[in-house]
Amino acid sequence: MHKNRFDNWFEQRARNSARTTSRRSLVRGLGALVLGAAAYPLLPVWRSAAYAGDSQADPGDPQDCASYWRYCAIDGFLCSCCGGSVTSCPPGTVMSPVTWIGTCRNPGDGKDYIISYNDCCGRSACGRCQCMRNEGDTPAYRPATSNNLNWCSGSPADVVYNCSTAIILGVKD
Amino acid sequence: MNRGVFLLIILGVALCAGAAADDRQAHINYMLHCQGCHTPDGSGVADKVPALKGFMGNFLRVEGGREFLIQVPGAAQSALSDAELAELTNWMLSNFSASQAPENFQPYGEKEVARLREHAIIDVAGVRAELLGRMVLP
Repeated sequence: MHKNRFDNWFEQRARNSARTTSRRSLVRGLGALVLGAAAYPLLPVWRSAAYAGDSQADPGDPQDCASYWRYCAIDGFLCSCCGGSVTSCPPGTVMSPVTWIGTCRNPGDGKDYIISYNDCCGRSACGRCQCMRNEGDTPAYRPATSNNLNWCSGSPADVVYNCSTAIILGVKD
Repeated sequence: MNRGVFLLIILGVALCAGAAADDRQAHINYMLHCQGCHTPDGSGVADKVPALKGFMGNFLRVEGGREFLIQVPGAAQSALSDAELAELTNWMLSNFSASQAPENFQPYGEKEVARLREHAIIDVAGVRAELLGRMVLP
């Protein structure tokens, strides 16, 4: 069979590779790749895109009443200053299943989002980061859309109010 | 495929898309006006917030129940228009309580809701208890 330079070159590479590498090196290499890919997100490098509060899709600081867009209709202490987060309660408290729901415009994409301000209940008031922006709040004679109620009183946990979260339910067209 | 069948399919798809848009609007209104207390799946909170899920359709089986679902203060006094309240109540019945609603259920319309909303219930708890008392539950 006639061989050209191209064939020769590949044949030589293949033989060389067979001589100098073991068959298990492939397994080793793949293993390193898999472990490396899994470990990469754990490395302490600056990953601002992974921090929702800093990205363009979710602008503002969740610990700052005035700057964080989701707090436009809130009335209470921010759970993100109280040992919890925007979407979770501090340890030792229970999230009330009944809640005040409003809408806020996200300056990142200009859309109106439906936000649920679930209260965290069961420990005395947190007292940090009081935030009263109250957009769309109605008087108490429209209780379903009034945020000035203690929504913990409908909670199986307790009537004691600790702080408020701001959870996105969906986009309002 | 002949042209008639093709046009029917197009019409069907367009109608479905329209219905889906209405469903979405009803769901948004549910989130904004009801879900805060009745919870996302309509199951409510035991002994505090009545369950819509698996129950509200029973009201349509007793005399006065159809009126009650619109005249109950959370519905009648909401900031929804008559058309929106009709659409939302129909949505809740089909999503939360289709198996309790009677088979010949006629959806609420804007005019009916407007008429019912003009009459407020004074003794809400009493009317509700009386309706529940007349329900024959399995």
